Amino acid sequence: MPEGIAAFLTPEELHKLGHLTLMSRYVVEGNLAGAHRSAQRGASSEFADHRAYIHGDDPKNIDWKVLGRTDRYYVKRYQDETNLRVYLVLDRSASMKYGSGDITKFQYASRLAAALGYVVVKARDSVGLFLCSDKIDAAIQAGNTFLHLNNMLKHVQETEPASTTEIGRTLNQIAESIRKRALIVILSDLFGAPEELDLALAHFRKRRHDVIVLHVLDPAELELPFKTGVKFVDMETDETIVVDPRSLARSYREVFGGFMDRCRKACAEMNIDYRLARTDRSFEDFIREYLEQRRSHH
Amino acid sequence: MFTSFLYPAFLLAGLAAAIPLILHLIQRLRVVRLPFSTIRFLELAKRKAARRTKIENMLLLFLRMFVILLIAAAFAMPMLRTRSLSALLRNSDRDIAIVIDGSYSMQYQVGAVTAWDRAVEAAEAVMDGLGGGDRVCVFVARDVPRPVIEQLSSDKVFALEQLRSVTPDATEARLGAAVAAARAALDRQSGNRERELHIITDGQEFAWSSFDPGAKSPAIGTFVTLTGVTAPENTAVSEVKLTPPLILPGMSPGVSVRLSNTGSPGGSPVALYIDGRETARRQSDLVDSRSGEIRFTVPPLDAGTHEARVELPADNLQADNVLHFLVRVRDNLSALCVGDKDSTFYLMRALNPAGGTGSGMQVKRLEAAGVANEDLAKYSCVFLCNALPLPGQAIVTLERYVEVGGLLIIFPGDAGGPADYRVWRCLPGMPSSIQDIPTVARRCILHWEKPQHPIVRSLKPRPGETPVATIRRSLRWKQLHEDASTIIAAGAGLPLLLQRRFGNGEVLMFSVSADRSWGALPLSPYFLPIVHQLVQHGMGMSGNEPYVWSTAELPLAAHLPAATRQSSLLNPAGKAVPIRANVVDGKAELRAEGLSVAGIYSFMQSPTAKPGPALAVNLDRKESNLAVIARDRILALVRNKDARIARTVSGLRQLLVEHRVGRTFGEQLLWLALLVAVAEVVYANRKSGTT
Repeated sequence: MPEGIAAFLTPEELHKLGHLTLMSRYVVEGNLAGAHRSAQRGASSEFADHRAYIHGDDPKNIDWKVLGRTDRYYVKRYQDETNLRVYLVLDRSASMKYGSGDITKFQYASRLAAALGYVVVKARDSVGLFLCSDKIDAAIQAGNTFLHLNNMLKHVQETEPASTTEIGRTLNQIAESIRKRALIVILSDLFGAPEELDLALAHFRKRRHDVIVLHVLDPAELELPFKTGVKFVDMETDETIVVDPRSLARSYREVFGGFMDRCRKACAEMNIDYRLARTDRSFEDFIREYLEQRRSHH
Repeated sequence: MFTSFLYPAFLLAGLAAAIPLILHLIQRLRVVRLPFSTIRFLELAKRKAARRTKIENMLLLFLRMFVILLIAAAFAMPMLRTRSLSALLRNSDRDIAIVIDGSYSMQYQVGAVTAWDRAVEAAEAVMDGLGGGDRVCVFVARDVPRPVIEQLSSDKVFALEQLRSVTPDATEARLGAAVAAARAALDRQSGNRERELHIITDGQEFAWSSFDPGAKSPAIGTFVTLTGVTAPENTAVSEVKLTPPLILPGMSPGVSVRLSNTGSPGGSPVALYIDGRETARRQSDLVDSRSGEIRFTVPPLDAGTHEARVELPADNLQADNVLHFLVRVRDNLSALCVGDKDSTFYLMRALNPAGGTGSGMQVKRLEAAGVANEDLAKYSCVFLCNALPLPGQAIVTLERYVEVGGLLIIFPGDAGGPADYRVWRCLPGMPSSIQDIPTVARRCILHWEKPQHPIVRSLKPRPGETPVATIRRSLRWKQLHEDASTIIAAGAGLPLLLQRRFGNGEVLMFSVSADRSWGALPLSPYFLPIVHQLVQHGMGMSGNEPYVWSTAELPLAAHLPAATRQSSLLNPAGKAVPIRANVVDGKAELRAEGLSVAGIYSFMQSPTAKPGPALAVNLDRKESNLAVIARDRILALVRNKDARIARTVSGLRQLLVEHRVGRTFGEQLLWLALLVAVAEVVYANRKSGTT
């Protein structure tokens, strides 16, 4: 049975992901969007390598010699510039175990996390992981090697969704624990207390972290497509409710839509990139589209 | 209005309306258990939609139950009844009165079926399906209503048999009288029963012309069935006239034939038959599509009574295509002179100047005493010459003679005074005196006061000639009868010849005598022609109508004055017609009854006498006008806005079903159920948010 990266991504998917990059919108060390430049000016950072020039790069970093040799634009990269730290916050609460189709939300979110991790490490950036439910179940520091990524994903692979959701409180704890600016990618269904979630997100922003919220939801949660009477059992609390989904569908969609709008609005107000990730959509398409969009906005 | 159900057992199926309710309840208890990520939003949604969901669910439940109830009700066939609830609760037995038009227009035939056949079929339809408690009476509308079943009877088989035995009569129909009789039959019955009145007719307007609506009877269900065609076409011979009325051998009389038409105008050949042989044929020309006239000239006929008829080709109504009449050719003129020899001398000479019998004028003189026993009918006129005073019986005889169409001419004389005239009832005036005229005034110029009168019309003085007469004595009148008129005047204001119609005849009265005792009138050149004209005038008046209309009874005195109690009258089929003697105003009067068959009737003076044509009877042509009555007019006449009118027997059956059984609206309920079911499906889908 494959482990690590192989458990989540096929070689073909890896190949496709290799062309993508995950950009931070903010200066991690004080630089503008699009460039992982160190905020520490004048610090002697060791030359790391070249990378292809992209629009927005500071022309000072263009290696003119390489241009003369190859007629192509490359910029020099230093250790400090490449040190984008990405932390993946993966919700492992029991509600993430739900899936109406072939894949659960947790599995989908895990694949997203794997894909993002690969893109980050491929770009020689660092990626870390937090697994949370009603507490931080696991915290893996950032690393920029594939071995690190592999180990990280093994950990995810071994994790089963369980426990209740305390997303707000755990995000606050995570925000507290990350000292240096980083890019925080939250993969969750956000079924926590909305006010606590708002505070946690604000906490991240206050610490100048760049935050991406990938709101992972099942289409059944969005549309409530059930025909017959159902006794729903809450996967976190085991509470039950008997409803006629057909008669309740419209009201449910209104309520759930209101919840999503609230999340979206809160993210927008804090300049947090919010995306809805439906589990019935190919994660590969989602990732590619999202990363290209994100890159084009920079 | 009241509703009942044709199949009430199906209402039990309405219990199935509880199925949605039961399902609704069962559905609540059985649910699928399903783990879900979080029920937080479901709780919120449920709280939010609690009230609305409840209402929607109840509405859906109601719609589903309603659909089932509608289907159950539809199969139970609710009937909309047209009678009142209270009437229904009281009694459902019926009394039915049927009035059928029995006039000859009902013989109008299209194909092999007549309007009468359809009428009988309609009556059968009315009686179909009647229950044991229902009763029926039947009347046939003729000139007098004929009851077929007069009292309400529950024996419908008998009623039908009786109806089938009736045939249309050769009369007009007076629906009003028959309907009144039918209503009276219904009203006579007590008890709370449903009542129906059925009028079955061909729709010809004339039958309704005498309709008297009477009082409103809203409680009677009224049905009018029109069995005739909507656009009838008929041409009839409506009238025949002979000219001149007095026909003698050697004369070529004219026959004027009047035609009447209903429908599109057209030409028909018209044939004239005399004594069974076709004499002439003409093509008719209906100028204004309603009438036309044709004139024939008849060749000279021998003296006697000749049977004649005018005939049209066969059409849809054949009863009025033939009109029978008699052409009476007199062999001579006959006159009776009453008075003594001297008084009648000049008159007798004037009437038969050549003497003998070759003049064509037969004159008989009779003394006054013999008048009472004389058969006056054979005389075209009777002259009284100085015959007054007459015995009372003679006066009665003479007055009766005038009443039935005879002509009485009175010449005064010295034998009677003004008082002798007072017992008469028929005189143009009561003479007040007999006056001698002075010598200077005796020469009187005669004036034709009525120059066109048949008596003087042909008496035109020669140019330059003035008719004069010497009058020495004359009757005087202070006041004439209101119906009297002066035909000839003598001098200034002296009536010479007065006229008055009395009954069917006339009385002519001279103011001077027929002899020379009162003047020289008998010697006047005008005396002879005047006297001859008097005889011819009398011939023209005496009971020589070419035909009569069919009738229930006919006084024979006017038409067959020679009839006695021993006489017989045979209809065209050879069957004897009853002759009854009635006493009217103290006088015995013979009447023939039941002259309904059209044709030539034969008369036998006595049982041993040879029968001869004496009377031509025809159907009264009023029914030949087949103009159709308007529907609105029928409703106005019956005075019942709820009256139903059917044009076919099947239409009548439908109306009867709707009236007696009711009208089902099961189909309408099924359509409503379908609409409600569609609404339920649409609403349920909309509610669930799926397409």
